[in-house]
Amino acid sequence: MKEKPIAQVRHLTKIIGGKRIVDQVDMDLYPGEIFGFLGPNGAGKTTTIRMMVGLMSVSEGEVIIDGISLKKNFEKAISRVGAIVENPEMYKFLTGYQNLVHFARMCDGVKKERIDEVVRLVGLAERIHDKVKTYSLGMRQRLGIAQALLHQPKLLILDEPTNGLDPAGIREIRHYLRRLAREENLAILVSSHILAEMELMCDRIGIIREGKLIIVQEVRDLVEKNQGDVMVTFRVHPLDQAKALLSEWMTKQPPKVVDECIQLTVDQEQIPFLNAKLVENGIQVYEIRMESKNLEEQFLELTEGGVLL
Amino acid sequence: MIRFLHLVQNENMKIYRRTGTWVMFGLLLVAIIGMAFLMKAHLSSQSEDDWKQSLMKENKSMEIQLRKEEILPHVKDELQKMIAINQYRIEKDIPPMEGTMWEFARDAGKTLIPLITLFTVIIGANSVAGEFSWGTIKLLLIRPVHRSKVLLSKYLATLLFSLVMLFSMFLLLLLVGGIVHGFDGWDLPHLYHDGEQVKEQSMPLHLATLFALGSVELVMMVTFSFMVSTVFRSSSMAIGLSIFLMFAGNQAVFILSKWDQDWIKYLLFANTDLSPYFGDGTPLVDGITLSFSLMVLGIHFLLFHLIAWWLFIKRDITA
Repeated sequence: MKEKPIAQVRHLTKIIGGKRIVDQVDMDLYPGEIFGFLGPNGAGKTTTIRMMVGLMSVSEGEVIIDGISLKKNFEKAISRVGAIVENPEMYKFLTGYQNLVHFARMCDGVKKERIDEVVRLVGLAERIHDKVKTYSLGMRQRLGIAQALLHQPKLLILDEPTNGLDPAGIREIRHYLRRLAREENLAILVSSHILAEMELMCDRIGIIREGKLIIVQEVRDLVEKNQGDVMVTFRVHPLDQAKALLSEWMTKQPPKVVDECIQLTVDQEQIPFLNAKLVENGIQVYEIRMESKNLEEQFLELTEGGVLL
Repeated sequence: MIRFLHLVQNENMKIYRRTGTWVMFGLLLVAIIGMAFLMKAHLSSQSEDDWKQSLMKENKSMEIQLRKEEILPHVKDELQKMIAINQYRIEKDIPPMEGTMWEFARDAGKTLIPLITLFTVIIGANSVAGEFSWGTIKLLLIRPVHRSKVLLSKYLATLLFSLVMLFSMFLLLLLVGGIVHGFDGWDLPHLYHDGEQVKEQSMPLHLATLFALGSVELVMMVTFSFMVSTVFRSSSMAIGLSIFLMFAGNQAVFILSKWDQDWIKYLLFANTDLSPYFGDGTPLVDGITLSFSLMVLGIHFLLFHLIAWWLFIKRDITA
């Protein structure tokens, strides 16, 4: 990342009623890069994004876009930004096309050809002259991306772009954003509270918790560390016998007994094999359950906890 | 500048692409037709020659009044003007507007302006609050346009809507009035006395002036509703408060005026009816002049705008 960053967020802070909703957030976003902004709901993602697009005032710190201070020169700085904040809410009583015309009129130099181009880009050509109220959530999301791209921004900010989409829709958005970053050299900031989604989409991930950006990590590094090990719980009978057998096979990470069940960390691939072996040995298997870890635990584990300290 | 016109164009698109707006125009038409039926029963049609006779009779009785000793100077002045106008009518053969499409247009128009006020209040209230409830405010305010321009474009589009409504009403009144009462009075002039002699004025111009004076309250109420909708981001609150104020305000000033307190004249509603200054009745509160009323109106107008603008500029958008 030797290029100049498109967006620089410096010590960004939002204080509401004495509480620091966002606390000293620093980020640099580079062209061609998708940055994942990850955190549980209420961690300050949306507030940070709202400050970055001028919807909320900044208590401390500043946002610089393409070298221009957002606060000092809002109109110029914001003309470099396209965004969807939370849901892509459009004027439902207008057609998709009228919505785009509406937003195109608010920027300089967006011609009719550009509108048509963007419509084709997001694949809405067939339905663009229908009223938005007839659109599915996925189509609204695409229309939202279309309005964000109209004025050829250098920075695209998408708040929870996969919210409410089905898996196919999520995959479509993901491919689409990757292409935009690669082909148009856009810097893209995507927020989400789902780590798995971010892993597939982003180049870098920043985690925000209680208003603080606690870590920024390259996704490549994350993936290497995650070798598919999962925590699995077996509910079996008889317990002792099963534990003895499992301890025999899994010498490296010995199983533990928790709540009348056996818990062990194992490569996902091994689960059916272990199951077969238990059954072969006359153990009754009632349940095999993968322990879903909350986002933070997963991430702390992946980054080996120590990085945070 | 071009960009600003685009903003107004956008607001217009959002007003006229909604079904609700066209329902308003439909309701206006229905109201005008309804008025035509109601007033048809009241308006007595006079035959060609009757009006000269009755004007002469009217003049005679006014002349008798004039001879009385105790007559007040301004009543005397008023009577003399009316006699002169009636005389002018008889001499030049200009029948009065009573029973013509013009009378209908004037009376129905005055009655219907509050309806247009209501419609415009609704449009104005939705203009800002609607963006918040639709969630589109977040897309609207992340454009390279300063917030004050967005707000101004919304206000202008709202006023423009009231103009379109008033103009449509005017045309519909003439059309419906003509169909019901006949178009034969269409070229009647309006007569008035300028203090020295009787003068003729074109009737449409006369009505336009009347309607414009009647729209002072419209502008004030729309500005008020616009402010409330910006402050509370709720269109129903803006509509409710404005309607309440419109009905209660005039009543309250009327009742308070019996009380003879000096501060009443500073109230908005003591000053929204400007027609007394143009020779139509007397002001609700004694001792106020046109310039005083304009000042009170101006201060309220600026105050409403200042509050709306300040909050719209400063507010964190959390919708």
